Amino acid sequence: MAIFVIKPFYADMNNFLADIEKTNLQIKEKTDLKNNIQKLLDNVKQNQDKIIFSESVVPKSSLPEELFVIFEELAIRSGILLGNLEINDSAKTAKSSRPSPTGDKKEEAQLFSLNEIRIETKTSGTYDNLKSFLTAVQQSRRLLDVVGLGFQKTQNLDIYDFNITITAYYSK
Amino acid sequence: MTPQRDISLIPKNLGPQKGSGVSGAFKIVSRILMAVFTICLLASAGLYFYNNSLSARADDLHFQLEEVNKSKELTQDIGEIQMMEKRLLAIKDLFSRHIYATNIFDYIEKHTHRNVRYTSFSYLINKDANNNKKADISMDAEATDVESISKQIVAYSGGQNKSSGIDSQDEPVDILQAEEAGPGTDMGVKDLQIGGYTFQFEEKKYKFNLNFVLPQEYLNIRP
Repeated sequence: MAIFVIKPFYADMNNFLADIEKTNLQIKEKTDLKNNIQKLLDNVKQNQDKIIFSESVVPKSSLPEELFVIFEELAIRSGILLGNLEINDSAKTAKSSRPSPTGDKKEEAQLFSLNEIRIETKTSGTYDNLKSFLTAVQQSRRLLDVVGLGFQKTQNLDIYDFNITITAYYSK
Repeated sequence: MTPQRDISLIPKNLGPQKGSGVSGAFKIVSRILMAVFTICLLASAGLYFYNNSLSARADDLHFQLEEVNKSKELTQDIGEIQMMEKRLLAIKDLFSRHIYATNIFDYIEKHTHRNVRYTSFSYLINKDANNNKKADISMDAEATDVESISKQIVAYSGGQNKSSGIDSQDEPVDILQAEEAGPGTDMGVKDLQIGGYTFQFEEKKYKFNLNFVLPQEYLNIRP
């Protein structure tokens, strides 16, 4: 009789204790996670200057108007004559994060992707002007890769016409 | 009337006593059972109240957990940090593959024979089979004599040292040293192709064109 009376209560007690232990563990995990995230956020705040720098290297939108300003400045600095500048934002994805494992379209849209902008420019100047221009492009605060370049000898021996293709990047 | 005599032979103190026998044993067993029943009842009552308190505590913890899970702040923070990490990794990768175009000109300048001139130049950055960037270079050139062309070929092939036939008088201006080119480089360009030889009598110049590939190692060295 004693067994029949106490056993259900005892079983309930064990279930409650197991449930409490499990819930406590889950709360601890979540709390630890939250604390770690808080530490990371603090770390991010401390490195805010690097993040701002990264946003100038690869901005969060294509900013073609910024590119016009940059190339004008680079041309002035290097003494090269900027004849033509064509910015083609074809939104070619240079690198994108993996698709959402859940297949969630909204989640996928929020994932990071890196896009390329193709810049075609026709310039003229001396060979030294070209080298100064390329050096300035390499040192530009916005990351620019000179992916194509061509020139030919002209009638004027010192002045060349350069066709330069440059890639800039932006993230989404 | 004569008084009744006690004729029993059993001594009086050994005879049946009041409260002893079957009824006594029953009483003891019933008392034990009562005690056990009382203990069970008390234990059950105790467990019942303890379970109630545990149930209340479990409900409270579940509520707390729900509150933690409900908090959108947590998921938003994780999302932000993931985005930031991906962004920084992507930028780091871009920097590691950044092209320093001036390296191409430095290389060509240091490997060009003094009797050779280029009349046109072009390069295009492409990717090789291993997804590494490379510069496909194409140039039209002219030289004053055939020997200069051969020395130019030797210079681009990676055999640009004094024992390869370039004497001190007309060797290239400066030959890029292995240390400057970076570790593991073989000094030479890849896929060197030379063709289109013509001789122009009026100008007394040999014309030819050069095509070769500069691998990523040359392009990524920070000047």
